[in-house]
Amino acid sequence: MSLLRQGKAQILTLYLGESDQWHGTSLYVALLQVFREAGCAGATVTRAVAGYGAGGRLHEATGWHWSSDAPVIIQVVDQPERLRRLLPQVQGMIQGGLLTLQEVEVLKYTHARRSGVSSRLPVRQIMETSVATVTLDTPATMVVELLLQAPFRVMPVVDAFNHFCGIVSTGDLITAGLLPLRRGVVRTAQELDTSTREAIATILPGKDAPVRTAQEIMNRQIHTLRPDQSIREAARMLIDFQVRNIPVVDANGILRGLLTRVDLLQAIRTSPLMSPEARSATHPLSSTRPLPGLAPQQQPITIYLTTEVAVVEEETPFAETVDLLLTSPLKRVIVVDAERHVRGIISDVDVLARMQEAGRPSFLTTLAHFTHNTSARLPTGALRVVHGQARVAADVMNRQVVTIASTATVQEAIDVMLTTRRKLLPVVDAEQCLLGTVGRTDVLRVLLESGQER
Amino acid sequence: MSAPYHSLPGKRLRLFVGESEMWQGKPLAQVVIEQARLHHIRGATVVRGIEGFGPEHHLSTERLPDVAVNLPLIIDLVDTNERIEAILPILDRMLQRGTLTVSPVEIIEGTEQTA
Repeated sequence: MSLLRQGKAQILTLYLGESDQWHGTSLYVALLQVFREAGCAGATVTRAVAGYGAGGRLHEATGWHWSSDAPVIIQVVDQPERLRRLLPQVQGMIQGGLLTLQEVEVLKYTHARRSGVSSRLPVRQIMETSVATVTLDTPATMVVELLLQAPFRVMPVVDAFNHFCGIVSTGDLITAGLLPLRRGVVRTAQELDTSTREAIATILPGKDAPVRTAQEIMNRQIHTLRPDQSIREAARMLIDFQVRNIPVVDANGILRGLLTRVDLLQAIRTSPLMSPEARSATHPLSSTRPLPGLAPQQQPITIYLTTEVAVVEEETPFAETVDLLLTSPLKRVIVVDAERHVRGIISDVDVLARMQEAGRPSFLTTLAHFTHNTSARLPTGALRVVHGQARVAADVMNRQVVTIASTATVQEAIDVMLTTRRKLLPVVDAEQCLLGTVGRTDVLRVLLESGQER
Repeated sequence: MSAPYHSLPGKRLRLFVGESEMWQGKPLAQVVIEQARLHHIRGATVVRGIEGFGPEHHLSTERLPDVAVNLPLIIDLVDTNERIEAILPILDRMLQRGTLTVSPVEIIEGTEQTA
């Protein structure tokens, strides 16, 4: 994301003379323009009263600023990668002026108004700009390898001039028969025991597979965003098309970045430092309608509650649990006790990592068949019953389940999702009983609502 | 000869805000300085910029009177880690639009008189 996340950043400080020129305008004005166009988080120019710099001549304010040659200082706060990328250009412009870089920690960077999220913020300011890409002629097997390591689930395909051509997603790889299963499962399988690693390797494309290129497997029918579109429009697209990221392409067809769901959530989360008093201003209501007079991110999370949740009990047989997992739209099963207290949560990765080693290869095959729709019946028949630990739901569930109280605000839910890296949170009432779930895309709706206010 | 000196580990908080930012009807910079005094923060300095842009990318500059209404301000507060942490929640609540950064500094308490 282009603007600042809380955490490590750098301050770039430039020292130059106020009367220094660049192609007919003041140098500091030209530099500020560069920083602004590059989408930097912010820059401030201050005027000093006297000094000297790398140029060696004394700068002194004359007291009449139209003709002043006082030193000016430009401070730019941004993520280190962006500043590094701008350095050559900046150095060329300041012709030997003094430049320093200093590490700082950003505690807060906020564009929020008191009324809520600024949903008119352009996408350019929050998109991820360092995106790995492949070219049209990249071999498909290499795309698979890169995608398994990449931070995102998609790999934009560009031509020699960085024009955006299409996207290869893990879904495309699965359709093309190059990836047997979703990325998380493959990654987990590769880290487990030897036989599981071998099992996944046999279904991954080998070196002898017919040579195909990124061009042949990519999806060209991709919705894109322009850098100047608002984050509200971006949220609308993510929700409508049920995708996790959208490429950002400028008017000339050049790929400028990638907008992810996390970028939007980060933009909504305006402050990690909310004081305890501010935090406690939540509303103990289980209302499912927005409360008047409250900013959207201060609304109770229950307005975005999904109640259609796949639920099993701890003693539900393993095979039945897997059936439910594969057919549930959220790809998660929540484990509850008789009073609907949340005991655990199960995803395909949880099953794979927790089941007995001997059963893993056949579970992978079952998953692969189901993913490719080649199995006409439900997968349980294919699962060999092996005597071992995984007999019931409780044996494979993840007990480290992060729940959120129904009284929490949307903002708090976003905080929890980002700090615990959870994509789905079970929502519980005061007695810790399950009410439903909220996911990352659900909370993006907050951006649509903040726009309605103005 | 360099004199030995006493120093304390501390932090410098730097706020980048617009001059027109208000908190409960008062200019934000003024309130920040008042709060810093109340909390016995060692040093607080406000510097007015001549041009800049921030989170919402509205450029302000003194070169053009029309957009000179919201010039940038830089507010530096320096103190020990504990004192800075104590005042953070208050600043956090007041800062509605802007950037707040922190960097480590050494606070020099004075040099030793060597004979």
